[in-house]
Parts: sequence; C-alpha cells; structure tokens
Amino acid sequence: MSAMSIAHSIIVGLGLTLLLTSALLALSRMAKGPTSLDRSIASDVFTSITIAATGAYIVLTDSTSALPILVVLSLLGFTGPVALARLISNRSAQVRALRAAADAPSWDDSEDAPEDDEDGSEDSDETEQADEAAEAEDAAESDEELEESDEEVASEKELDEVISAEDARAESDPGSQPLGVGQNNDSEGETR
Amino acid sequence: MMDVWDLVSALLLLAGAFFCFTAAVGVVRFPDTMTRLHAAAKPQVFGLILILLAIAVDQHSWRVVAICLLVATFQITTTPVAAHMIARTAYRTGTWDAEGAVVDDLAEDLDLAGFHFEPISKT
Repeated sequence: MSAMSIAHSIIVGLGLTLLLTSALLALSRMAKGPTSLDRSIASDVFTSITIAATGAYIVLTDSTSALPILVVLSLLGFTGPVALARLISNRSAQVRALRAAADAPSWDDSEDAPEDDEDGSEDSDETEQADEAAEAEDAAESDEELEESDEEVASEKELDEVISAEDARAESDPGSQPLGVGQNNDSEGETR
Repeated sequence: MMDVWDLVSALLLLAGAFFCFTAAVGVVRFPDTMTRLHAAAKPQVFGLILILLAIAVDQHSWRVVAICLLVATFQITTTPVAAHMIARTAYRTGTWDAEGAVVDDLAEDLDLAGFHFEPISKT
C-alpha cells in the first residue's frame, strides 16, 4: 500500500503543477491579450482552472464542504464574458467608423487620422464636419476609406442621426447599417 | 486508507489538469480571438468534467455525484453561451483574423441578406 500512496502523491502533485502552470498561462494572456475579448476568454479559462483547483482540493482533503464553491463558480464564470461581450457593442465601433469616414476628406492624409475623444464637448463641431465631409464624399466616393458599397456611404442626415444618438446615448437606432464596420483603424482601437 | 479508487481518482484529476493545461496553452499560443475561443471552450469543459468525475469517484456518495452533475450541466450549458457571445462580438467588431479563416458562412449569408460586411484587419 505504500507504493500506491507514493504513486498517488506523485500523480496529484503532477496534476496540481499542471493546474498552476495553466493558471499562469491564462494570466499571461489576460495581461497581454490584444483585445478585451481575449482578456475575457482568459478570464473564463482562469475561472475554470479555479473550479478545477477547488476540485483537486476536495479530492486531496476528502472534505465536501467546498462543493458549493464549485456550483457558485460555475454559474458566475459565465456572466463575465457575456456581460463584456454585450458591453463591447458594434454600435460604438460603427459610429466611430462613420465619423472617421466622414472626417477623412477634411484631413490632408487620411491614413494618419487621429482618434477622436469621446466627450460630448465637440459635438456641434463634429456634426458640422460630418456635414461638410458627407457632401464631399459624394463627389469623391472612390476614396480609399470607403471601399464598401452604398450602404456604407451614409447620407448626411443619417450621419447626424447616428452621431447625435451616440452622444445622447439614445435607444433609437437608424438601422441603416446594422453590421457595417468600416475599414478604418479607429474602430479597432475601440475594443482594446 | 489508500484505496484503488483513490488512485483512479488521482489519475482522473491528472487527466483533467492536463486538459486544462491544453486549454491554457491554446489560449496563449493561438493567434486570434476565434481560435483562442476554440481552445477555451472545448478542452476546458472536458477537463473540468474529468475533474468532477475524479471528485465523484473519490467521494462515494450520491450527494456529491448529484452536485458534480449539477456543476457539469451548468458548464455544458453556459460555456457555449459565453463563447457564442464572444464570437459574435468579435465578428461584428471585426477583431478577428478573417484572412486565416478557411470558410466564412456568415459572410455568405449576410451577402444574401443584403449586408456587406468587411472585417477590419488582422489583430
């Protein structure tokens, strides 16, 4: 029976080492993940590793008092990624894409367009820029910021609606571009 | 009191820890959000079920088996929901590797529905 005990200790120690290593790997991905979605995935993995480690604790100590922790963690681990995925909406990225596409002809080189800040202090200024730019876009539609079809090229009224709706955080959606995210670099920075 | 069931339980624990390790390595090593999601969803749940099985083998009582079944059911039902939400957000915000995708059925369906969707770039 002693050899079996030694084998038991070795196997459990190996399992705990693997769990510790995987927790550290998940933490490293949580630290350096490029987008927030990667971080939430790593958080989900880390929660599952926590459940596994609690199970290892139950197996090692023969005490079933930690079993409700498993139930609570398995229910709570799923709410975090779902809430974060709902938070990172397409809507903010879409509005940012439209705004960047509208502002693009007003700059000299559209590649180095700086990212707008999100406060509402420049509200009327940007709306005027959007008006001018939307008029300019109809002339120069073959610009490299706008490779999409006509659904991407918003008329100025829709631009005003979208931008003002985003600033006021209203619920009414124009719904003209439900999935259209432009090819710009600004909306990529939204999810970081 | 060392039993053969304890050894079986320890082996199941080792296998579950190995699958958790596989998931963590996949999350670290895979290049974009969708592939990391694949690693995080499937081997992770399987490793967790193996560890729950280790608990059920270690404790010989139906109460523990019932709670382990409950936890396994929660994991199996909630992990695809979370993975689906993350994948949907990654697709809509375009932060995934569209060039590395072999097939993109959703883009074809969106084209049929009249939407033109262009992913942003490789993250």
